Order: sequence, then structure tokens, then C-alpha cells
Amino acid sequence: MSDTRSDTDARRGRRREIVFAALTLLASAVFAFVVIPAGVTTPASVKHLPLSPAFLPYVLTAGVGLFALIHLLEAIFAAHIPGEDEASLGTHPRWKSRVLMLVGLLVIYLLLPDQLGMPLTAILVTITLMAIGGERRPLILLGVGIGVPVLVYLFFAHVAQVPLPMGLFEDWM
Amino acid sequence: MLENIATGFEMFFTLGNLLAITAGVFLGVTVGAIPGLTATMAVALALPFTFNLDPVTGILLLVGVYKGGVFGGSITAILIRAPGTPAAACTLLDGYPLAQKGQAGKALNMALYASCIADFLSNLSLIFFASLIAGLALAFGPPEYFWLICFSLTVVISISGSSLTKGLISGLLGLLTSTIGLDLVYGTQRFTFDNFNLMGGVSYIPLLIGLFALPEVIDFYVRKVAPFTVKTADKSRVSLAELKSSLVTIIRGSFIGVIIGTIPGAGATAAAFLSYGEARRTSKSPETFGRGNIEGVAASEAGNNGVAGATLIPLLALGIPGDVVTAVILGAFMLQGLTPGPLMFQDNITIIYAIFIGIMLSSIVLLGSGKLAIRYFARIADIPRHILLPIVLMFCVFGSYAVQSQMFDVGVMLAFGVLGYIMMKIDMAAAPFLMGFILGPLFEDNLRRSFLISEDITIFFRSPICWIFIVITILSAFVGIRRELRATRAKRDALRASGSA
Repeated sequence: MSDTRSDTDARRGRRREIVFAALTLLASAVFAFVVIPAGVTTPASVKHLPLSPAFLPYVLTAGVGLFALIHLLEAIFAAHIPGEDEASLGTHPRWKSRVLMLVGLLVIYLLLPDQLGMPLTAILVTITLMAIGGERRPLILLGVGIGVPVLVYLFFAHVAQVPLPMGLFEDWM
Repeated sequence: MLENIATGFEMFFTLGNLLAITAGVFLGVTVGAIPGLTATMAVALALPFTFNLDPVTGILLLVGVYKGGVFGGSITAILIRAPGTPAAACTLLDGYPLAQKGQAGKALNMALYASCIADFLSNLSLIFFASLIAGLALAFGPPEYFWLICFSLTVVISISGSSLTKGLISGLLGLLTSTIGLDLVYGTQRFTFDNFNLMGGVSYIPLLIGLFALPEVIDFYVRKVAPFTVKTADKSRVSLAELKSSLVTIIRGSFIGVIIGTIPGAGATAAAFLSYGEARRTSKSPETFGRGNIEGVAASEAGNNGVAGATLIPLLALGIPGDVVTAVILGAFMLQGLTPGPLMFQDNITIIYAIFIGIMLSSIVLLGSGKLAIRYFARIADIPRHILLPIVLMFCVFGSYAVQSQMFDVGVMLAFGVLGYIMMKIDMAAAPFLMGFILGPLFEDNLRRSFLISEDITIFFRSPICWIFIVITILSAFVGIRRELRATRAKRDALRASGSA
């Protein structure tokens, strides 16, 4: 039973490595033929190849492609060595909804500070994340969720002199 | 000379100087421990306070902040996998796994002891070998730098984790990321796609925070249970035997730090990784590195802190700042009407001696304040992770924003956080990526500057220093690759044996 399971795990692990290597190889090809020509401006006056702005990106991309190819051959022909993560704990039963909420909160951190202000955004996200993590005690949720962001804001704004966005509260400051 | 030293002592031993160095170290440790706030930022923040102070007091305040900041960066690296400074990224490789095993106290104490010993040795080097080492550093031109960086990059092999090819790909991706921005020679755009925020390249602080701290936050919400909980009564300490067995590693790492620190621009991150790679290479159990080996913590902190005193060598002996921090300290000297360099050793020798005495004392102050900081900061590890990680995320956001006061950097941090998480899931080490990213600009800059000096490739073989670094680069790469291949073969043999049993 356990032999069958470890065989399945090994097959899955090998497949994962093959997919990783193939995708990396593909990405390096796309990088070499599309991204570098489109993203690097090479002046006409460049006389010596190593002085070209595109020289190092091409060399590095070739290196990535080469090692991806070696990894692909290794994954196909050599015995698979299980990684540390493969033997670790499984995922949370509601991991999809949790990750979705986390992504939403990260987007809030990215987009709302200019409107709401950094302290208020931090308070909202911190309280919500603690609640998602399982915290139910109102005193902890509100005490930590409000107290810590305010203290951190005061440190950054008044000690480290970092002008954090205040959004709605701009006029109050 | 003795008269000058006596005057230097007299000049140093004032309450103001003692307070300045103590306050500086405390401020440095606190700021360094906050992800996003670096030792450089702390020194820059403290600079205005020096305007009205005596020259010696002002300089010692800044030196204290710098040294405290370098150590402080390791605290959060060990406790929450969020390095306070780029160089501390190496400390988390073994420090964080130790914290996961409930030995955060041991890791923090070893980091402190290694830091203090390295700092002390670095200070001694500053005092006794300043002019000698500075002269050697002056012999480094672009080709010599190029080979030094090549040698530093061979460390990627040692920090590749479970797969050498993946580690090398990670390092190359880091180098590739470092090419984003305006071209150094022609000023043309590279991968910026007309985005103004990318013209100066990707900021390393948001990248660092994203790559290491954010994956832990994401992982917490994906996994079934919290990955680890640190025991409340973490009384783990470094035993005398452990300290003794790590002493060779610490001393070797300190001297690596001194040599790297003397060379302008090489940086503490490279020193930390080089020292770590060397410790792993010479270890009897290299496979335990990256899984909570206390020597790994000692090595990276020794390399990191060995740089602290040595960066002052080119500054004091030649008037050349080796990095941003020493450039700020140079500014402080000039504000006080002093010009570091050979003339200062003639005209203001008593001030030099007073500063040297203060710098030596800073190692002892660092030990005391570090012990105190560990006692209080270690409690962070006792906070339940569902409360701690939202706060870590907040520090990630605030710290990334603080770099240039723009939300774009928060976006960069989030993007590299997602990349870091993917790398964690596919078992690809993030440390080589960081190493490549930090050394990338130096690598390319010196490669191209060499070609600007001479289009003939023989420029790369022009001096004995070049040849020394070529030989040790080839040796280091050969030994590293051979060791990794042997380790992989041993794992496969063990797997085959367990399969056939």
C-alpha cells in the first residue's frame, strides 16, 4: 500500500519537475525571441558585443534555458528525489476561499491607501486577516487590530519621517 | 604616539560620547530589526542629530547606529523570516529553521556572539591594518572586481538547496532581474516598457521583503495547520561547546567580511553569503545547512558584521566611502569640517584615536544592547501566528512604501511575494535569486567597464589579483558542483536502497 503511494508520489513529483523544466525552457525561448527584442533598446553606435545593453540579458537567458534543459533531462532519466514540501502538511480544507480573501486584502493594501489612508487600510486588513486566521475575541481583534497599526504608523511617520498616505485624514494631520 | 593615544583617550571618555554610542547602537538595533528600515536609513535619520554635537560624539553616534543596524537585521530574519537588512537574508537560511524547532533563543544568541566577535575583529583590522588594506583595495580595477564578483557568485552553488539546477536557474533569474532599468552605459531602457518607476531598477528592499517574508504569510492561509509554533518558554541558549565549535567559522567569516568590507562597493550581503558558503564547504555535515545548523547562523553573521568596521578603512585611510552608509558618515565628517584621508592621520590624529577607542567600545555595547534586544524581541516568536502574520504583512507594506514613498514599491513587494511563494512550492531556493540580484549590477558594471578600458579580452588577465580570483573561482565552482552531485547521488542511492528493501 505504502509502496504504491510512494510510487504515485514519485511519478507526480517527476511529472511536476518535467512541467517546471519545460515551462522554464519555453519561457526562456519567449524571453529570447520576444521580450528582449521588445524590451531592450540597443543603440546603433554599439561596436563591441559585450557593451550592448542586450548582451547580458541574452547570456543569462541562454543560461536559464541550458539549465532548464539539463533539469528536464534529469527529471526524465534520473530517479526522482522527493522535495521537502512534498512530504509536508496538506492544505487547509477551505484554502481556496482563504487565499481568495488574502488576494483581495493584498489588492486593498495596494489600491486603497491613497483613498483611505495607510493607517485605516492597515487596521481593516489586519482585523480581517486575524479573523480569517481564527481569532474571535473582540478585545484582541480590536485592540491589536487598531493599536498596532496606529503605533506602527506613529513610528514610521514621526520617528522614521516616512510620509505615509493619509487619504481621508489628510486634512486632519 | 603614546601622547596622541592618551589625548585620544581623554577626548573619548566623556559622558556625551558614551551616551552617543549607546543610544546609537540601541537605535540601530531597533531600526535594523524592522523590515524595510535598513541600517543606511537609520544612519541617515541620525545624521541631523550630529549637527550640534562634537565631531567625535557625532561620528560615534552614526557608527553605533550602523553597527546596531547590521545586527538588528538578523532578529526578524530569525524570528519571522523577514530580514531587516539585505545581508540578514543569509542568516534566515538556518536561523529561521532553528526558530521553527523552538530554538529561536539559541539562534539569536549565536547571531549576537558571532556579530560581536566579528565586529571586534573588524575593528582591530581597521585600527592596525587600515593603510595596508586600503592600499591593496586601491589595486582593484574593473577586471579585478569582475573576478571578485564571479567568485562571490559561486556561492550560489552552496545555497542552491535540494536541486543544483534549480538553484542555478534561481541565481540567473536574480541576475536577469537586476538588469531591469536604464542601461548603465548608454542610458537606454531595459525591460522598463516606458514605466517611469522601473527606470531606476527594481528596489531591493521590497524585493527582499516580498521574496522572504510574504511567502510565509501566504503559506499560513493555505496550509491545514500553522507550520510551527514556538514554545513560550524558549530558553534555548548557546552552549560553550557550540560556541567553541563555531569559533573557527566565526573567525574565518570575520576575515572574509574584513576583506570584502575593505573593497568599496562589494557589500555585506556578498560577505555573509561567502562566509556561509565557506562554512558549508568545510563542514563535516554540509547537508544540515539550511535546516537549522547553528554554524550557518554564526557564519553569515560573522561575514555580515566583519564588514562593519572594515568599510571604514577606505573611508578613514583614503577618504573613499565603500558604501552608502560610509558615504553618509563621510558627509558627517565634512559637516564637522574634517576631511577623511591620509591628511587626517597627520592633522587630526587625536580625533582618529578617540574614534578608534569608541569603535572598539561599540562591540561591547552591541553585546549588552543585543542581549537586551533579544530578551524583548524574542517574545515576538511567542505571539500566535494568526495574530503575528497580519502584523508582519503590515510591516512588509509599510517598510516597502518607506523606501521611496510610493505605492509602486508595495506592488513590487507583493509581486515578488507571489514569486517567492511559487519558488517555495516548487522547491526552488530564493537565496540564489537574491544573491544574483544584489551582485548583478556590480557584475555587469565591471564587465562592461573592463571592455570600455580595453576591447581586448586579455584585460581580464592583466594582474596577479585577476589570476588569484580566476583560480579560486574555478576551484570553488568545481568543488561546489562536485559536492552537490555527490550529495544528489547519495540521495538517489539511499532512495534506491529503500525501494529495493
